Amino acid sequence: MIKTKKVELPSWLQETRVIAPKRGGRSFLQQNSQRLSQLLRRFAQEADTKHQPLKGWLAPQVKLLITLSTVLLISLNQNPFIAWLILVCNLSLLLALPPVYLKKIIRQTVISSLFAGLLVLPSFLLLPDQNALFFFGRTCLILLNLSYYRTTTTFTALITALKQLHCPNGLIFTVAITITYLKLLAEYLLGLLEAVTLRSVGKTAHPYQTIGQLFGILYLKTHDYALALYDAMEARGFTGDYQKEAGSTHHWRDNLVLLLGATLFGLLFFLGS
Amino acid sequence: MLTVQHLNYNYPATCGLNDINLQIKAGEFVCFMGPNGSGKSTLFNILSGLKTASSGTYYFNNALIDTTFLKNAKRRQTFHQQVGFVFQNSDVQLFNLTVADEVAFGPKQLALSAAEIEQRVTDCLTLTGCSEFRDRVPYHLSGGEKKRVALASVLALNPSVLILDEPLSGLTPIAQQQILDLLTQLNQAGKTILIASHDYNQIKQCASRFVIFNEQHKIVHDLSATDLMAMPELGQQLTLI
Repeated sequence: MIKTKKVELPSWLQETRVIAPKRGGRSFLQQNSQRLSQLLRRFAQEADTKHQPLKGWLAPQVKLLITLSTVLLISLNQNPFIAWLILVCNLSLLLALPPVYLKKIIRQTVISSLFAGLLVLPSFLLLPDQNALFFFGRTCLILLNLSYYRTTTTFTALITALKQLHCPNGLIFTVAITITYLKLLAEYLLGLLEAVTLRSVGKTAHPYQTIGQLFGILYLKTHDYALALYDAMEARGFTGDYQKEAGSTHHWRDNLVLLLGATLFGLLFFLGS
Repeated sequence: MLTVQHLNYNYPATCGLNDINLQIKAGEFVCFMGPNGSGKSTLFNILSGLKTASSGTYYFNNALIDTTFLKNAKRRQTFHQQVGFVFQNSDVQLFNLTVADEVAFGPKQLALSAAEIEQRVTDCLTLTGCSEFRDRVPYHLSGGEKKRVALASVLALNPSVLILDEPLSGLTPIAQQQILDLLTQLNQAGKTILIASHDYNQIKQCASRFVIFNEQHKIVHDLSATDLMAMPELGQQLTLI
């Protein structure tokens, strides 16, 4: 056993007095801490043991292509019939999903559509015509498609899709690192917020000073993480090239879907323009 | 002082704690041991009010600590003043511009006089051996130094219960011994100490009770230090955890 110099405890540390806090109220930082932990759970995309996991029957790259072309088609389309047709297709796809995913997609679409509606509202109030309404309808349809893709696709599948589509390495690297970092930094920030909560035992004289310090530390951490992560990747032989995965994930059904999709896209594009 | 009954905690994909029952009296020095991921940190998070249990109850001084309790700012602040928690990762516990500001963060909120705050800062930095870097930026300190500053910043609130999640990891043997001596002194002064550690040989000199978790996130042994001494086989197993 190592002998160390014995120190005397100060008298205040031997007291059992509890000082009553001066002010109550939920703080801005605590509210954000809860919101951040919810966001983190979404980022983590943790396996949900209660619900059946989704099985993707399309290759990630095909799914991405279909989503992007549908969004493009909706944006360029001027024919309400085609918008209805896409909506019916979307709703049929939604019907095939388990209720938990369906609920998520509908909630996300409704919330984002409400925000979009707020932006379109002044234009609709100034010039109440069919165009503004149709524009809003198409925006909701785009949001529904994006929400469907976001909910049914993991980040790993997105990266795989980008690799399969031969996207530039720089783009894949940026997307991959951003996704990794956002989660790491959000976890770090959550830890900091918890530490602040634990030591927030009364009235804070300068609450915004603490927020500023938290963001300052987060900036320093971002910088350090970036350097450390790139060094770690280089140490494991990363040359800046993202290799396409061995063995194609492309099946005959992907080709069939692509062919059907391309034909339909061409047809609807000419009908809609 | 702390009573935990049939406590369970579930993470989205895994179990965190499995039917935990525990009663800790004021002034005890309890060491929590178990394999990595057995639930020690999760239990500490619940005991410090950072998480609430999925099911079961947790009472602190006869008050039920649940979401409703923690939503009340005044009660939550009083609770946090009484229960101090030193994180396993001290990196996230420090967010001020200097070490002195870090330690003063809590006392400043207690509306103490400037002289009292300065007294607490100086005392805590001396006790934890951090006086020489009181004006340095905590972010740039080494891992061991950060750990000691985190302990000083928690001590400055004078909590009656001190929860420490692996406070000795990353410290030099001398610094480890200093921290253990300080914890023993605090315990002798009446503080309740809950500590998670993997070093049985080191902790057995000061802990009065050992709570041992298994990989199924359950408590398998809850023994006094004397009882554990009488079980050399279990003691041998604990040195390997």
